[in-house]
Amino acid sequence: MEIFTPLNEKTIKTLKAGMWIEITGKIFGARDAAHKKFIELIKNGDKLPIDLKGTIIYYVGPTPTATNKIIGSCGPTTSHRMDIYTPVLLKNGLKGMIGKGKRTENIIKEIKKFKAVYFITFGGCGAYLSKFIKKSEIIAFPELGPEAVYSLDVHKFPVIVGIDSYGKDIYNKRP
Amino acid sequence: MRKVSEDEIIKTIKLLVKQANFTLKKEIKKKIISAEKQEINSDSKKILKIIFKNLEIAQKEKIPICQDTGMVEVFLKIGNNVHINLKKYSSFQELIDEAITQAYTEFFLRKSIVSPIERKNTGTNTPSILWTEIVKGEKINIFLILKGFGSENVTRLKMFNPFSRTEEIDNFIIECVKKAGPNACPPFFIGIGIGGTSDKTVFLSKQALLNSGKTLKTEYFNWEEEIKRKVNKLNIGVCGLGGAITCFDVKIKSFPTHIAGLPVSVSISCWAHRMAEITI
Repeated sequence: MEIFTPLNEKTIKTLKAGMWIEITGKIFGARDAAHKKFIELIKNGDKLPIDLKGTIIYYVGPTPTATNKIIGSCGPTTSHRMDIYTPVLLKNGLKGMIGKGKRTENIIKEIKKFKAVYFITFGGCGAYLSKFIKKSEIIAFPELGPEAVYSLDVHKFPVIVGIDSYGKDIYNKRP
Repeated sequence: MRKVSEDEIIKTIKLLVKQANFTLKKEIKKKIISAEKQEINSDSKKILKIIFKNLEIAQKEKIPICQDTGMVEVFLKIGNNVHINLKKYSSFQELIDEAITQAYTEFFLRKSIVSPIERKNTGTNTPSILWTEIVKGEKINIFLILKGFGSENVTRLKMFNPFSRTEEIDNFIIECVKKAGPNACPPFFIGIGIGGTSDKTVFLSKQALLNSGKTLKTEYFNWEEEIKRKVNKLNIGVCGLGGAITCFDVKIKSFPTHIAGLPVSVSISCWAHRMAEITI
């Protein structure tokens, strides 16, 4: 199933843990250091470099873009390190996250509370995933190098619903 | 005495960095291919096919296999009759790091190394982690591994009592794998260090990882197979989505230890176990 960004409530409701989904539209790449900065900005009442309403954040730190390429290798990084920052972002309108691996119980609760969704994609498949990115641009914190914030135009970017808005977790039955 | 120039070392290290980032070693690839044949879970099977596609694109289009191009660890066995002629660089570490700096810039690889507390990026993906050993002869064996931190973060060490049973050690290893779970990009290659001191045992587990995929009938072969069997019963599977394959291979490396202890360490590599080796 193909879905489009920004995410709305109607679309989110149709997403169930375990479904294979293709995302088309604009998403934002941000990982540890950028998340830390987002939270500081929110705390100080400052404007974020991205609009969180209905937004999907992809936990990614791509390799540098080679000549004549759109982006480098750009697979997901481990999501649980973002768990400490996620509740504040959800409260401010974030609707989707893409990463890899488990989230804490608390994050599952928050995802349910804010009717958001967590997607997983394929770790270690950064070359493959780069093929679904049609445009990429660093839009904030270039000084963070690989941890800068990216704006990414994606076409049918492949993900699996990891935690749905009903709080169902794909890893729940797993050890 | 055989002379080896700085340029030759730089050229060789760059070649290994390139190989490791864009292709997997044959024996590693083989393990993944045979796993795909065995896997019955449809999600896991589908992702294994995507993994093959990823490897194909990486090799053909020179896009790194994974965006986490790792911290570089270099294991060297240097012949005692080799004279490495340092002119421009003041240490061997500096020379190797120069090669890595050049490679990470030229091949568009991610520079992921930062100061530990300030988190300031060094901008070069250096320093590397260097392990050297002096052996007889006039050759240099270089083994380079790219350690991504998704899997490095799940490394563990436990100091067992001297007469702990192997089942207790197995349970510890199983716990480590469970904890690594979907986060560290399973299926895994597992390296186990047994004996030595606390630091030595972690090093052994890394050395064991270098043997991944090789057919070595060591004294631990049956134990390695037993651990693999137990791990594969965990049903973690590819990306943690369940299935028959949670690890491709287990390797053990041991060293004598003290009468009062039994250190055990577990190092894990994600499926994209990137390393390269050469003897010059």
